[in-house]
Amino acid sequence: MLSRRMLLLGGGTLALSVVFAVTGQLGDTADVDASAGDRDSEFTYRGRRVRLRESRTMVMAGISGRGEVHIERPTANRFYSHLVPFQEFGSSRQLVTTLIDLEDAHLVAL
Amino acid sequence: MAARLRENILTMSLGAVSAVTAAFNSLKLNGSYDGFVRRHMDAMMVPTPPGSQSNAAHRGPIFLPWHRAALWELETLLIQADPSIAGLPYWRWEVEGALNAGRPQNSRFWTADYVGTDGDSAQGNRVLNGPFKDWQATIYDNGSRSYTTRSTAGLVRRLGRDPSGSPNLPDQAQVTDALSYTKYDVSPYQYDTNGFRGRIEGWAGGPRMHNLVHRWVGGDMLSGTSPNDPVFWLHHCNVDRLWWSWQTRSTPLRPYAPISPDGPIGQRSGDQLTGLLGTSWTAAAVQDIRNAATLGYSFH
Repeated sequence: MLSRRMLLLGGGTLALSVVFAVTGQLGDTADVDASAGDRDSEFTYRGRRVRLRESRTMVMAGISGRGEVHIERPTANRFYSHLVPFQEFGSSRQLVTTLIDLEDAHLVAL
Repeated sequence: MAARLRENILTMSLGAVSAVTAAFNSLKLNGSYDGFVRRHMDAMMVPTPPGSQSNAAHRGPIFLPWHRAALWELETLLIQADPSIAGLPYWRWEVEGALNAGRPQNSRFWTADYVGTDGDSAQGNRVLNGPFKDWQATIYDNGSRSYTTRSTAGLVRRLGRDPSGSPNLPDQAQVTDALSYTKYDVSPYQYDTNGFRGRIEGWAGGPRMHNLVHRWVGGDMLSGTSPNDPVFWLHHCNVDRLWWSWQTRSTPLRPYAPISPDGPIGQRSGDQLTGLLGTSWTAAAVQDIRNAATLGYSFH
């Protein structure tokens, strides 16, 4: 079982892969990892370049150089955004990829 | 003010349903409806109290009073548009699975006679039939912190099939569970504290109840601008009915919590409700909005 500390500290690709496998959110869209340390990371999803800057209580997600999305972090492995406010996510990355899916469905503009 | 009666939409005559949906269209045409969409989204962005995980309308004790006030405001405008309307109908989502052999999307609620069908997967999951087929949603633009109008008509729904949503609607067992909690909310009054409010909003022991309904409908109901879909109001009218059912299980009414001066600022019984239409007929504080009988409506 993954520890909260493992997720808090990034945990590496293995930990994230397990979370995504459990939640099944990433689907079949290819992503490219470019980890930039324990608290910062970057990846590409559906043509958007995403940069995550994580702290203990929040995450700021920059998406293709546009306005940043503020993500709340009630606990180490629970993430929440008012843009998709009726659920929590197991990782900030999972949340951001969901937001990008919602933008592609014309439900929100990022 | 005439007494208002809120009914199960599936027990109403089609004529009465049509009057309600026509009134919704009147509000959409005159622009007042989209004000409700914006206020709901705006309330999401006001941490209450500052720095907390709760906001002015959700993720805290204020959730039920704020939505009761918003429902009352919308209902007032609907009745002003058509005085023949008795009240805002509710959608009793917790019985839909049992009534439709486990396939709640087969309910007649999801037909053009009521709120329109599921979205058409071949057309971007747009709902292109029923009383709201011409609606263009109000979209929040996070980059500019402003609102835009979707360029094409059709609400978005993905009943039980949204990859970002849920395949399951809450059932009667979840309702029974929520009603079994005798405390409205409990200290420290965080979003997922395990009282009646936490269970019915759907964070405590979740995902469940209110949150799960948003996620089952999917599409426009997933985002902070979820009032774009009028189903939002029928859903919340049912949540309000369940709260009233819980409140009236004792005499006097089961109390709200936290009672001022205890509890987080902005979530207490004496605190001002914010981010509403705010007309002269809107109650000012949480304690003013907690009694449906005083507000002049009942459920059938």
